[in-house]
Amino acid sequence: MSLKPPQPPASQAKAIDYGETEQVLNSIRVPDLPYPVSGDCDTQADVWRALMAQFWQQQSDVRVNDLIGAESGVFSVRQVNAAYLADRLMDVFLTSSGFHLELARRLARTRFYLAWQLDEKGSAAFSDSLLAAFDGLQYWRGWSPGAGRSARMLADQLDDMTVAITEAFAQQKSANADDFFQRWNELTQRQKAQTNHFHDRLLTTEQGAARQRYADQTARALVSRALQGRRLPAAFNDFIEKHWLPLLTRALRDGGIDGSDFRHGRKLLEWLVWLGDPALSDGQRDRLYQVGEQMTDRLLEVWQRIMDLALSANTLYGIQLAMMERMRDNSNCELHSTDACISAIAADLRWLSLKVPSATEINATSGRWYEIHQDNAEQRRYFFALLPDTAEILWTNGTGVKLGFQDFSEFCTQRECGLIKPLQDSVAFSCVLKQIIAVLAAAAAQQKRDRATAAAAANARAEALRRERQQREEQHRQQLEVRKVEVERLQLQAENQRLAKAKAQEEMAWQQRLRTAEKQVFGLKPGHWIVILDSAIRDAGVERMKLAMRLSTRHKMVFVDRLGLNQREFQEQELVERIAAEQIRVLDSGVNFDDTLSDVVGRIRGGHYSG
Amino acid sequence: MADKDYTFGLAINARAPDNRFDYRLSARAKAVIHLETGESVQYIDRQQVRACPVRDLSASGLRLWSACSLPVGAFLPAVIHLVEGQPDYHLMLEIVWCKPEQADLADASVPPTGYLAGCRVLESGGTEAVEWLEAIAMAMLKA
Repeated sequence: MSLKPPQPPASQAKAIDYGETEQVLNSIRVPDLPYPVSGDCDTQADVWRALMAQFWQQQSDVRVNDLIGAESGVFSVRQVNAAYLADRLMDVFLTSSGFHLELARRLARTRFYLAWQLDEKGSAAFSDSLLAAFDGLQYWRGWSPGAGRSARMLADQLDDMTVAITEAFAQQKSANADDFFQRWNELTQRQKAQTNHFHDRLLTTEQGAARQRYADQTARALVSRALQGRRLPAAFNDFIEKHWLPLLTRALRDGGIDGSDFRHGRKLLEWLVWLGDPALSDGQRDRLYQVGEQMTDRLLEVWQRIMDLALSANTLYGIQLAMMERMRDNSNCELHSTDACISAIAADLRWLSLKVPSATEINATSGRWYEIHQDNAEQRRYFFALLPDTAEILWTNGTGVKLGFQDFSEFCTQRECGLIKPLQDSVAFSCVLKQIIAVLAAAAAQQKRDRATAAAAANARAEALRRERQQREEQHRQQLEVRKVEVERLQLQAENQRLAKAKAQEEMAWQQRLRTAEKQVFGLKPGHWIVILDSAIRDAGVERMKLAMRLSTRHKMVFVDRLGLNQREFQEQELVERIAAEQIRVLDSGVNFDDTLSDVVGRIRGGHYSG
Repeated sequence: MADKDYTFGLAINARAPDNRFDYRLSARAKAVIHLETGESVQYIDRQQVRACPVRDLSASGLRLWSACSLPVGAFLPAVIHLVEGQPDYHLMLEIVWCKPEQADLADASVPPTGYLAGCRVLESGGTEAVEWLEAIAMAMLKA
């Protein structure tokens, strides 16, 4: 046996992984959000809390991230992520909730409270009481602000929430808000229990009433149809309307249309009409006698069985007389049209073709919320139950109060033409939370791996470039050395060979110029200018160009015009030779873009430039 | 704000609006770019220099926002300011692409709120490309 004490049932809050939430808050980078470059940017928690408190105070309907994007301060990665998580949670939850716009708007503002709590406490921001209260919101799906007394209760709660969260911000304690969420959840639970009770009672009452309505209307329709176009003795009309109709109603109510009581009652109605109308029965005299003889007994018997009492002699007398009159040869009884009787019955023949929806149809539509558009107004109604006897929907306000009935067929038609729309299926807050944390935790883990790879690659590249830079410097040093040796050799040669002195001096001067040019080219940095003196080697007539890039390993230099365009490449050696040959000159680079830009950066930081 | 429809994290690599393949760190930094330089300019006027907020960074480049369009293909000197209190980086940027930032993607008739530009950091000698790479590596590790 386990020695552990019994655990309270795990709430949804426990299902949220603390580590995952922390990882999301501390390390995820969502595109285009205002993160600082460095993850260890130091910002104070109380500044963040004060800012969230201010947004809450304003009851702003804007996203946290949109608001902080407009602030001038720098926020930590954790704070920007707390804002993003709060925004995403509330927006996704409320979009899928189907709540009335007003309710969604009021709830959405709790994003500021969440953004504060997430920064401060991580996943502990989702306290049990907060989750229970938010999950319990499903109960209020049908809420709309104009729905009277029942709407007032939630409206009051929303007002209380504003006060409680304001208190929490002021006292810097989430307990104020948590206590409120606890009370709110308890209230929801009480309301739910009460609603269930109301709904049970309502269903019993309305099912009984629907049964009665069905029996009454169906009996009227059946009798009305049986009498259609007939002519009967007055006593027949009277008996059928006043006695047999109530009997059929009762039979239908108690035993349904397939019950034996109703079958007998209906059969006798048909025989009565046959007997009463000479147009039907005069041609079959033998049968007429036979039926007439048995009729009284059968009427008595069926009456006794269904109505549970004897048919009074008085009632029987009138119809008996009329039947005997009908059975006489050369009967001359007075006949009446059934029209007056039919109009008194006031039947609706549609009840005879009542189509009861299938269980599948009912399952797919009942127990859901709908938005009904009527006379330019919207109302939320709850399809509480389908009354099978009448194929009617029993609409309620979701708290057990009847709003009315509607034929299922009419409901279907109105749905097709968009007058009735189902509210979308809503997802509980804790489910939305779990999904979002899972998605973002996976993305955060991936980003972390990507960043490690990127950092390693950048470091390796930096190392390679640094080596190239050193190699280049070494190469240049060696080159200068070679050139020096060459000049010395030429000098010696000139002294030794007096004849070739002029040529050697010329060569020496060239070598000197090359050496100077090499130094100049080596010293050229991006932003430095050259001027192309020889028009024959100009590109599209461009005279002055500045160095944009030098690729040390390939000894290549890329020059551009003053706008950074019209690239022209030179090999370093080519440039050196052209400078030595005075086809190109390195301009005195009085402007160093580094210096001037640093100056501008300083001024921009100082607020002189807005860009 | 980006990710208004909260698709981030749902599909890997669903958002890759430019040509950089390496990981991009979403972060706010500042870039000052020099649109036009002359060999004897002592003073830089407003039109020639533009301060642009940086949207994201990678070793090989960055994406920045600019109020006006930037010339695609241009090699421009720039100073990047990453973290307060730390040195700036003097680099050469190549403007690889520049697109209008549309507030309303569905309606092209709405004027753009600005321009987004993808810039390549040129690994040129004579710039602080090495220091830049090291700073980016550090930022990636400390993110």
